[in-house]
Amino acid sequence: MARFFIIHTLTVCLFANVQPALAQHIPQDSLYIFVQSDTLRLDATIDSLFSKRTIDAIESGMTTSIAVQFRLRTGRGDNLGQSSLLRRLEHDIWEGQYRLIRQSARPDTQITSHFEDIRHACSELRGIALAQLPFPDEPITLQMRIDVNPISPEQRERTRQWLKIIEKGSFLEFFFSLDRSASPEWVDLFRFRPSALPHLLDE
Amino acid sequence: MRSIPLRWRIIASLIGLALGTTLILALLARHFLALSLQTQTNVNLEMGSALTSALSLAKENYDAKKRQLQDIGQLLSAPPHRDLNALHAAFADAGLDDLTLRVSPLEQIDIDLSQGPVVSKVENDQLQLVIALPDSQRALTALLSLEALIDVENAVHTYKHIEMAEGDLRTAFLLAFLVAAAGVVLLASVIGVRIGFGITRPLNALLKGTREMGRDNLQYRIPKGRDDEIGLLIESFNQMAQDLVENRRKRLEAEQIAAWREIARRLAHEIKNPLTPIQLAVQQMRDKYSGNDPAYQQFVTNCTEIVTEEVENLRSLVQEFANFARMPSLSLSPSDLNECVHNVVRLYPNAHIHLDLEENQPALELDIEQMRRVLINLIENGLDASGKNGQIEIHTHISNDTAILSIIDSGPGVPLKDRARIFQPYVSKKESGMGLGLAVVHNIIEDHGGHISVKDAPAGGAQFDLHLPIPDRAIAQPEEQR
Repeated sequence: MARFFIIHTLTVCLFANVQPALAQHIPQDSLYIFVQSDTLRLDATIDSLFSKRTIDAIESGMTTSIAVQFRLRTGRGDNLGQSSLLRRLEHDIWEGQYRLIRQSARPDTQITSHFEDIRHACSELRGIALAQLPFPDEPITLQMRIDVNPISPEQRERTRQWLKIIEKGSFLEFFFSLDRSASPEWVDLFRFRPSALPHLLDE
Repeated sequence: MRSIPLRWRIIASLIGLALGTTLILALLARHFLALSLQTQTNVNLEMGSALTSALSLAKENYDAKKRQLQDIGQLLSAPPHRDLNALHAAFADAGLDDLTLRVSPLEQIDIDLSQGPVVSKVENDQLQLVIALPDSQRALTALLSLEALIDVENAVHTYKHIEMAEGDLRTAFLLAFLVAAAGVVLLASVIGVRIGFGITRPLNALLKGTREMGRDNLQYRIPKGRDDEIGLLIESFNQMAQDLVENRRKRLEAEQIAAWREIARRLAHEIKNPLTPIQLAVQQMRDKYSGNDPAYQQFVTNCTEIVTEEVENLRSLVQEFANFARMPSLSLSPSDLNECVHNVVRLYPNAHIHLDLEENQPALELDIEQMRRVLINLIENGLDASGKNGQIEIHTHISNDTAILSIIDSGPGVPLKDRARIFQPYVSKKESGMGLGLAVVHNIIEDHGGHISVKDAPAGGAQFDLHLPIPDRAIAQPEEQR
């Protein structure tokens, strides 16, 4: 396993790009962007990933999907790379167990009885590969979007049947939909030049 | 300052009314929605609390059932050996009735039972107990349904989902109401525009009509096109225009007749006076001749006769002028039109006159002498036009409030171009006479409140129709009798 030597720590507070971040209320303590073996990688700590209401929903056993996505954009709007962390969190209230299922090419499941373990697993992101170098030496923007949704498709259907009034194609559905069709907006986090990035050494 | 047109005031009023009503309803709806949601919030708090408690109870129930299964598992995994019925009875004694039991060879079970009974949750809605039976060859699997507990969990989840969506749902209700209200206002606007235009369009037409009247265009008529009160107003306007045309025509005719009468009176006066001296002078010339020349005597006598004859003709002509000029005012009395016709026809015993008179006619207000004059004039005209073996037909009938007398001859008829002038004085197609006859007839009929018209008879010839009004009391009488 590689041991990283941090040449330089980039602590990015949100005042780097305040306005869009506030718009979506994406809180994070810090971001660490670095280059390792020609790969641009990211360490991030996302604070308060779960709102009080979401935690309440999880505690009651609602299956929650968690999507954290990063992407790099040039000033011209070209996409240089994207990384998605998709997870599903199930809470078996009867057995008191949380199951965090990572949905990736190599899926794995973390089972624990403590929610704090889950919070930590979801918030502490380490070594996320964003893109392969080289990059053009121009300003690049790191963007992020987070979608924590405690409403599963099955739950939506149950609620729809419960409410009755919001049938598919009903007048009210024109103004209100239980289906979340729109994804959250991308939020600019940090702008940098590749040449200014710190490089990590492999162990 | 020019005021706002009526059309826009009506439209604005209707839209304002719709908007105002909708606004009041919206405020009321908002108030009641807030009230309802406030109540709902209180209920939600209670409901949320109750559901949380229910979930806690369900969890306790789950734990209790799990412990029960573990306890009974320990019991059943020890001797004595029990058959399936005895196993069922053992579970029932432990208060676990609703179970599915299955006994299977031990080797088919892929659970490690070496540590004793295993209790686990399977299929997400069942608790499973697996034990090795005391014979060590078979395993017992007991499945306990958790359906009721899962229902509680689902209810809690749905409640939380609705709670999360409540704000958006409230906004959606308000938006839906506003869109529906906007639809109502739009509909009211369209209706308002239609009503506004529906009222003001005919009013504008009436305005245009009155302006045309002001410009002396009495022939202008407004298209009716509707059957309501506005349609009646338009009809009344058109009738008024028609009456104005008729009155103007009558006034012009009256002025024309008066002018002709004045001319006739003066002519009669100027011509009549010298006639008698001329006649007396010529007669004296004849009587005073004392010579012996018989040829000259004869000559004087012949000349005297010629002058006397022409003076008589002139006197007759003057009399005709005088009669036209001095038309007496009518002396009306209730009269029978048919009787009048009979009396006149008697004067023409040799003429071919056929009568077709409707009986039981109401009495008309007539000046009998003048009507005799009318009939004589028309019959003589007809006979003149029809020739030697000419036929005259006289019909009378009633139509609404009018008595109609028709005189039809078998002559060549009146050419269309002459019909407008035929009742004017000094218009005649005959060689003799001054053309005053039909003018006199026309005057008398107009003085009676009626009118005369001429057209081609169906079988050829001219047909003169006299329209005479029936007095109101004569109309009322038969109705009273009914």
